[in-house]
Amino acid sequence: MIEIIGKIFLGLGLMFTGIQMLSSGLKQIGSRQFRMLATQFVYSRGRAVVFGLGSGMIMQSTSAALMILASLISAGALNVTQAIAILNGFSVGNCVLLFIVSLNISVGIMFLVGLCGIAMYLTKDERYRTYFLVGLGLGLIFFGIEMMAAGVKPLRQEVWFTGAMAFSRDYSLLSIMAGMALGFIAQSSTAVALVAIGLVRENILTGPQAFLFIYGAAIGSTMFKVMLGQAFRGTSRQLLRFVNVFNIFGAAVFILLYYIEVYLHIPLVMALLNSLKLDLGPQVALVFLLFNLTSAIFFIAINGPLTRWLASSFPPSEEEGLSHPKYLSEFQPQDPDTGLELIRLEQTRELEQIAAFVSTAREKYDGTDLASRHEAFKSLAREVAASTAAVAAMPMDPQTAKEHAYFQIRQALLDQLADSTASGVKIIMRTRAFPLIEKLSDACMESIDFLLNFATEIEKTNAPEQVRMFLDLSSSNGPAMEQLRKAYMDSDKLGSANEKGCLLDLTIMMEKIIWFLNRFYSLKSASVATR
Amino acid sequence: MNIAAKKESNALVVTVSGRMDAVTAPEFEKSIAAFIAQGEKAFVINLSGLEYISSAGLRSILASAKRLKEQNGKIIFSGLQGHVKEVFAISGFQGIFKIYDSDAEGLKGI
Repeated sequence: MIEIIGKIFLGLGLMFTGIQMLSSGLKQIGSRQFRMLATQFVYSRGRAVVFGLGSGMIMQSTSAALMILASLISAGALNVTQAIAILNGFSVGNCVLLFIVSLNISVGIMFLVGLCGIAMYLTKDERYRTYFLVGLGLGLIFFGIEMMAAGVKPLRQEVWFTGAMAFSRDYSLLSIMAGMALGFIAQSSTAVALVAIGLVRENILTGPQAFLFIYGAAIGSTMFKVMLGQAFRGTSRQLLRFVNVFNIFGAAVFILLYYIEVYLHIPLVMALLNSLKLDLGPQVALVFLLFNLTSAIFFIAINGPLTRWLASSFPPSEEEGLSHPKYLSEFQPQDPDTGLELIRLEQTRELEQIAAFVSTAREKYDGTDLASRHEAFKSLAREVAASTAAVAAMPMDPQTAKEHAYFQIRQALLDQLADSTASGVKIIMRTRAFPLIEKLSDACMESIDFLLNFATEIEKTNAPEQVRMFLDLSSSNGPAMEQLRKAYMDSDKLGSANEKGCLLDLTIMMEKIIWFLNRFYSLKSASVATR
Repeated sequence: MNIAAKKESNALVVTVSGRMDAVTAPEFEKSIAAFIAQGEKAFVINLSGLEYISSAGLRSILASAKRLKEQNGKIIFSGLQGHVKEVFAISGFQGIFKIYDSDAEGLKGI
C-alpha cells in the first residue's frame, strides 16, 4: 500500500512539475509575442477570438494571459470588451494539451523526456533551453499521468477500493465534490482534467465520473480564484470575474445536461461521445473542449451586456487612472515635435504623481496606498519611455533631436526621483516609532511636500523666475541637512543605534530627493538657455 | 492661528502664533495682502509663537513674498524655533529669506 501511495504521489508530483515547466517555457516563448500581437488583432471581435484561440494553444496558461491583458488594459492599449473576446478564444485553445495527452504514446514519451533532459543539460543557449523545457514539461506530464495510473492500477484488486468506486458511481455528487476539492487544491481545472484522463485509462473512473470530475474542478478552481480576486482591483478584477463566471456557467450547464441525460433519458453529451466511438481518454478531452466551447459561444454572444455588468460591478481603480497615459493616445507617427509635447505633458503628470506620494504619509490619509501609487507611476513611466524611444526612430531636425535628448534625461531623473521619494516616505513613516526624531521627520515631510508641489506648479507655468527661485531653494540643502544631522547626533538625545540609523536614513534620503529636484530644474534652466 | 500686527518705525512687525496649515494658511496670505494694499512694504514676520508650519503654510509665505516683491517690498523673518526652524532649513527658505533671532535685529537688518 505504501508503494501504491508513493507511486500516486510520484505521478502527481511529476505531472504538476511538468505543467509548471510547460507553462513557464511557453510563457517565455509566447508572452512577448502575445503582448505585441494582442493590440493588432482586436479590431474585430472575430479576429480577437481567433487570436485568443491560437494563443491559448501555444501559451496554455489562462493566468499568464490574464496578467498580460490586464497590463495592456492599464496601458490603454486594449479595452475590457476586446480582452474578453481574446479570453473566450484562449479558453478553447487551452484544450489542445488534453488532446495531446489523451494519445497513448508511451514509447514516444520516453524518448521525449530523455532527449529533452539531455539536451537541456548540454545546451547553454537560453533560447533552445526554453524549447527543450517545453518538451521536457510535456513529457513529464505524460510520464506523471502514467506513473499515477500505474500506482492506482493495483487498487482495482482491493475490495475496499472497488466498493468505494461502486458507491461513488451511484452518487454522482461525490464525483463533483471530489473534482471541486482537487480543482481548489490544484487551482486549475486543466490539471484535474489531466488526472481524470489518467484515471479513466486505467478504468479507475468511468467516463461519466470523469466528466463530473471536470465539471466539479471548474467550480473548485473558480472558488480559489474568487478568493484570489479579493486582492485584485479595478479592471484586473473585471477580467478575473469574467473567467470565474465563464467556468461556473460551463459547470452549471453541463451538470444540468448530465442529470437531464441520466434521469430524463434524453440523449445529450454522453450519447454524442458514445456515438463517436472514441477511447475514454479522448472522450474526456472532448468533454473539456465542449465545456469551454459552450461557455465561449455564450459569452461571445452576450459580450456587450456582460462587459457593462462587469464595468459597473468592478469600476476602474484610481490606480489604473494613474498608470494610464492621458495624452500619449494622440501620438502620431512621423511627428516628433507633437510627440515630444505629449511626452512633456505626461512627464508633468508623473511629477504630480510623485508629489502625491508624500500625502500617503499623512495621518488620516485613506486614499490609494504608496506601493500602488509607485507601481502606477512605474507603469506610466514605462509607457512614456516607450513613446520616447518611438520618437527616437523618427526623422528630426537637430533642435528637435536636442529636445529629445533633454526629455530622455528628464525621464531618467523622474524615475530616480520617484524611487527616492517612495523610499523617503517609507522612512518618514518608520520614524514615527521614534518620538525624538518624529518632529524632524514631520519637518522633512512638509518641506518635501512643498518642494514637489512647487515643482509641479513650475511645470505648468514654465515661469523662468519660478525656476530660478526653485534652484535657489534647492541648492543649499546639503549643508543644511548636515547641520541638522550633526545637531541631533551631538545632542545625545538619541539613545539607540536604531534611532541614529533612522536619523541618518531620513536626512540622507531628503538630501537625495532635493538633489534630484535641483538637477531636474538645472537641466530645465540649461535647456531654456540653449533655445 | 493668531495674527497680530504692530507698526514700528521702518516696518510692520507681524506676529504669527499657533499653527499654519492648509486651513489657516490662506488667512496669513489674506492678511499680508491687506497690509500691502494699505501701503505697507516692509515686513518683519515674527514666528516665535508658531508651533507648526505645513507645506501649505510655506506656499502662502512664498506667495506673499512674491506679491511683496512685485511692489518692491521686503520681508524678513524672526524668532524661528523648533519645527518651524527645521522646515525653513530643509525647504531652503533660510537660503532665500533673511532670518534674525529677534524683532529688534530684524528691524535693524531691514
